[in-house]
Amino acid sequence: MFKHFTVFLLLPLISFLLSTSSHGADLQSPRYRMEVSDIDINLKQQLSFYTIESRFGPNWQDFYELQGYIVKSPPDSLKVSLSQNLINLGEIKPTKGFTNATSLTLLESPKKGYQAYIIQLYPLKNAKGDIISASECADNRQKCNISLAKPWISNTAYGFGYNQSGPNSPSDFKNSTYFRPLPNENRGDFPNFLYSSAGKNVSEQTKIIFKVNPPDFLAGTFETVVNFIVLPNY
Amino acid sequence: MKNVIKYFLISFICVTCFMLHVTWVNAEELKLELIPSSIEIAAKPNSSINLQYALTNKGDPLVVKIEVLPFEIKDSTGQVVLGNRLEGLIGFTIDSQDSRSEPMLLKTNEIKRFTLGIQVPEGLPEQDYYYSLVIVTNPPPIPEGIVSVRAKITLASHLLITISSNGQIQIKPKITLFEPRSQFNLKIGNATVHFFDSSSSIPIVLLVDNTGKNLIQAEGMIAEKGFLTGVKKYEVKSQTILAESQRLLIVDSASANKLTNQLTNNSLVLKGFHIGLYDVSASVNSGKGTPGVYGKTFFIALPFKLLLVLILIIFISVFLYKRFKK
Repeated sequence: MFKHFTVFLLLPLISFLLSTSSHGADLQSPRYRMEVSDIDINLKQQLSFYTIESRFGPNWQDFYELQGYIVKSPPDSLKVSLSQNLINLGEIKPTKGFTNATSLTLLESPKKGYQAYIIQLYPLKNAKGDIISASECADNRQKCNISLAKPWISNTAYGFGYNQSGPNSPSDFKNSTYFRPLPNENRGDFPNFLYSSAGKNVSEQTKIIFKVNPPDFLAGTFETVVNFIVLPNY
Repeated sequence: MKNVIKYFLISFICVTCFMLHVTWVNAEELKLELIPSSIEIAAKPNSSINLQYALTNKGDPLVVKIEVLPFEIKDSTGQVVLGNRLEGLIGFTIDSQDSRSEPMLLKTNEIKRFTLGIQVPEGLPEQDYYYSLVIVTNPPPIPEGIVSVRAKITLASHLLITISSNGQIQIKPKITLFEPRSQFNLKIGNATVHFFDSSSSIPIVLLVDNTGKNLIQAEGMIAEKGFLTGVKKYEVKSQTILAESQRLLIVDSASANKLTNQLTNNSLVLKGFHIGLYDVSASVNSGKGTPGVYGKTFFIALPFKLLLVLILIIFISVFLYKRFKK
């Protein structure tokens, strides 16, 4: 019995050790199909040049040779509106916050969609050079920054900031008490992302609420310029 | 008569004071349309191209300026940054004038049609060049006596220019990252095993590099194969990857609409109940007749939460049984 068992165990083991595994290349499966005209095993450099027909479509190569250029322009447009370009935050009243809003609406989107951004050109200032600086929010010691909104309710937290509401707004704007300071172009900041769309042909609106809470020693005319940037997706 | 004169004087003084104190502030509505929204060009060196644009003002009268600026890619989510000034060898003119127009007044419902001229010099290096035709509105005047925010709009139409003397372009995609984003993973040798709970959503990331000198239009498919689900396929619709850059390819619009400034986006989120081993594969190409690149990953889904609840129930049951038995 033991002899038979040993034979039955050794034979497959020897067979396994001596056999050479060979696998044919499976060039077809339910997920892949490789079609190759020539295979050069010694090819050192991968060929990666194609013609403009692979991007612009067939039969354009002759036209390109003749004219010297091809232009492809999708038949769509970019249409935006801003409800008001002058946002009045009232006369300076120390320790009393004042808000006002404008709405950016994308009325017609290119097929590939678009992105909207916001940036302040310079801080809120008067002709003498006095500045109402960017808000730090600082309610319950939670400071906001240009990337993260925090609650701003306290009247002793001075500054200038914005709140955003609407579909696709960044999730840190939890409600109307959450604010961020604006990025500043003069300081070299990048514009803040507002929202984007993947190309749905639906009118989309975002509301921007500006808030100012000035310190008590300031008076007069204060202004700043805010740039709403709308770019198509490439 | 005296009363009439008195009331007249009082009214006159009040109105005068009011008129002198208040600075009339008129907020205007801005409504602009720019056609076309973007243009793709392939051109030989030493060529000259004219493009037609139309800018329509459907809001209140405003002053606009038109100029051409370069743009750069900011990150792999498709965000770009406009440059501050035009540089480089390609020349631009607006209505045969400079590349930056003078400020012009656009009345309500006025359509401004203009021609953008592009001059490609001889000997320009054959690669891609990216610009934007930019429309900038003037902010309103400063109102006196108040705190105000003066808003302006910058609207852009991209120009994606490929320079090639013989019509040849480079198509060199490469999958840089294709894997599930898991909180729990185990490294075994060179492989990383990703674990998910059976009821969790499975986020998948597909990052593709374009290592060539010309942009590509990447498209393809992600396939999920599992024990219970069989094969599910998700189409990756055509997305542009600019030259020498990276792009996170998006599959479903739900992920696309949650774009943020950080790379927290996912290409695809697999929803539903998963159990066992799942193979996920990606195939990306740049159109018919172009090379494809492939990626493969896998993950394991187990009902961890359910098991934990069952263990807790068993433990509590045994504990209560022993206690009551005493």
